[in-house]
Amino acid sequence: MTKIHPFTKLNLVFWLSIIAFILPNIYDLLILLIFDIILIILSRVPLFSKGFRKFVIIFLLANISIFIAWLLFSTRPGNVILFETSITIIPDKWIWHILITDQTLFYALSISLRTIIMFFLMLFFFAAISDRDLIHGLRSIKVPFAICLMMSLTFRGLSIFTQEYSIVRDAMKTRGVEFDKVSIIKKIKNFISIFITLIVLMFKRTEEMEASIEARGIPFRSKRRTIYHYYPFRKIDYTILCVLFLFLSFSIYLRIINGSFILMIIHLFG
Amino acid sequence: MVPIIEFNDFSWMYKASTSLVLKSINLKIHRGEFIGLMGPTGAGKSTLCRCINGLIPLRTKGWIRGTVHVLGMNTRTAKMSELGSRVGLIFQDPETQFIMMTVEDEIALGLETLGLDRNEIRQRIEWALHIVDMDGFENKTPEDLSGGEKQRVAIASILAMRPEILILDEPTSDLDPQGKNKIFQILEKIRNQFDLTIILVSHETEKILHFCNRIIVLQKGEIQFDGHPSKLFQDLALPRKIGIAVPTYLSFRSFLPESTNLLDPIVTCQDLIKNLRNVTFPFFEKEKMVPLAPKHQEPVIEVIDLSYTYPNGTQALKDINLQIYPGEFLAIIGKNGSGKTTLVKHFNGLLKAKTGKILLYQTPIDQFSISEISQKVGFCFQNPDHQLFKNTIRDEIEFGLKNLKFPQEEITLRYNEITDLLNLKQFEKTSESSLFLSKGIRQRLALASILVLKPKILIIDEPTTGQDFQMIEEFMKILQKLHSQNHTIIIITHDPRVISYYSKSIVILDNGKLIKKLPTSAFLCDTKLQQIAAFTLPTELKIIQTLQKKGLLPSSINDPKILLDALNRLLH
Repeated sequence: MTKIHPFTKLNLVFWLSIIAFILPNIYDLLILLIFDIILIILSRVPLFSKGFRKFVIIFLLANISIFIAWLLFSTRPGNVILFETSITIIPDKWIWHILITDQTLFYALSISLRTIIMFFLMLFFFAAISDRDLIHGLRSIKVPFAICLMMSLTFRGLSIFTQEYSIVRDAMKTRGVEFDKVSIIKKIKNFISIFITLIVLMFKRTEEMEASIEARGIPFRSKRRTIYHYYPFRKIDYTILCVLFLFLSFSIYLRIINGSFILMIIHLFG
Repeated sequence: MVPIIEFNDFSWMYKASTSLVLKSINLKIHRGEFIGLMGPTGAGKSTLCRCINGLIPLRTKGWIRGTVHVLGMNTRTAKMSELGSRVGLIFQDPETQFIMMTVEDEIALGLETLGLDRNEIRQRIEWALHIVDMDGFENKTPEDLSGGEKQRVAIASILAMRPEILILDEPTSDLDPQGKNKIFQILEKIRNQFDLTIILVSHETEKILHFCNRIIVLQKGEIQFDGHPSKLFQDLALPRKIGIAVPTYLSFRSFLPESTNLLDPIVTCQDLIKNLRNVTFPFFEKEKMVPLAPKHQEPVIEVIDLSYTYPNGTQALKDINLQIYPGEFLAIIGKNGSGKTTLVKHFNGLLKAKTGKILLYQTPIDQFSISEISQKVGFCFQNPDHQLFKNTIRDEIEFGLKNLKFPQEEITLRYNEITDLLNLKQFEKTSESSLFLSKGIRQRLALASILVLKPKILIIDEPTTGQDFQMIEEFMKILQKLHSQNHTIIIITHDPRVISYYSKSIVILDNGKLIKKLPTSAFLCDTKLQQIAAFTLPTELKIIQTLQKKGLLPSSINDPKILLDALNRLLH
């Protein structure tokens, strides 16, 4: 995994997410999910580590809610009725009709699978591509220096922003501002106050960072600029990008004909 | 000899400003000079540095008159990339100078711009890190480094570009004593090894005297003094009038021969020893060390068996037991990372005690709500910008009271009281927005926004960082005034002068453990505890102790401040 160029990894994440939305069939999505899991294993994402566990649990709970919501609230006609009932919420005014068909189940499952695929791809993105690698990777493929520098500044800015957010929040607490035991409106008001301070601070920080770059005589455009960390684009990168392009084209084709790759294979081999 | 920096009748005004920041500056600086640039906050020191580096006028809009020539280039027409690579400028805040993700990338950034090949870049990175004593730090991220280390990376990234002029704009004002000492050690190394022209902006007079062979003093955009350091302190009235900190030991001058090099504390001490041999001090025996006041009252804050571990596993506090009594002026000191801020954050409920207990006025602190605590314990942060979020002085001060739903009459009454106490009314009239006030005034405003809630306990985190001598004096006088009004003052500080001359008692923390609580006078005599706390005794007190050791001052009196006071009375 380390041999793959960061730009290729970025493309993998982006285009596989798009493909997850294009593929119409649940079996194909399952194949994509298996591929996703292989990626996760290869990139050694510590799924069960203390830090990740919390996110995985939150995501799974959210995903189960999405699945149940689709199941209960969408009434898709299908070939088999699995469950049907009506619940009177307000007599003569609101009767909740629950109809679960085979199609509703497939649809809810596919939505659920798509979000799982995207979540795993996101995990892969954070685990397999460091912000530093991404910037060096982009610079190596001649993405303009100004864009790479902006990205670097954004990453640094986020780190400073997080630190300052907790300081400002503490500073407000010292003036008697409650954040926990208050109404949502009050909470929003308090957060607006924090953000006013943070925005003023960020303006100052941006100015200081800009001055620091300018003071070192670092121009956005320079013909003589060299690259210290050069990440070459290898054969494996070209191969992955080609396969990805073919996969994308094939997915679009499947979408158009509303077909399935797995069913095609089964059909082909009898 | 041709100067490498030349200002000719140079004046500058920022676009948003209404007055000149630099006025008719005429200045020549030659290669190899080590210049100390001094002056109160707002004197134009940073602007002057930016003019040499080319940021002004090449990247800043404003009104300009006259010329600046640097290394033969007119800064109006030169290229910023050329000037920036030959004139290195290091700023005050180490955090915002670190742009890239690792130390290696940070240093390489400037070198890539010079068009160097990979081998040359690697060699220069290793060389620069070696100069700043950070070998092996290549892959460290900003999060892994202390403020002092980040500042050293900033110096390394400039040195790697091999500039001809190095400008350091208050490089140590945000650092703790260890970080400061390391930067000055590096400056010493650079001065001895390279033929660099160095311009150092600092409020630390003793350091400037030690390093620089020429001092330039700015006040209100004009050069008030330009010459050898010894000349600046020939008449102490001038630096005092400008607002420059005069090292206290220089007041011994009247007792010393004219030949004494007053800029060297060691020589001063040696000459003082010679001259004091035949002097008797009849009044010394009557002096008594002021003991720590007996504790008849209940503590206002009591810490019982407190330990604290951060979510990342770092244990910040270990079994702390401490009592703070009403009316104390307490300094909490210790090296960076010793747990000072973590401890005081428990005093106002910002952190909850997981192991142990905090009693506020004999009641467990978790029984108070945030709004109740805010009226008992005030907390002033290091940077006032973190604490201010309203547009006007009135809104800022009234915010806490309105939030706690005080009646309007009470709000107006308290507002008037606090603005009178902290002398803030004049600024309400002159400035519409609190954002445009100077740092010193904003710090006072932050204090006012806390004090208006009338807490009897005040916690102040690093009140002197990045401030000039006059601002520190003014702020500390306010704290003394509050202390005299029965407020309990708790300050976290590294400033030796604040610790020695303002605090009455000291709490020393080291590696999360409370080492000792003792009266300041006792601490000033205990070199072992001073070492643990990374504390450097002010030079004049060091001299006093040397004189004591030589038997020239009575050893029965163990508060060096009393002896200093007595010595000053004798000498003047």
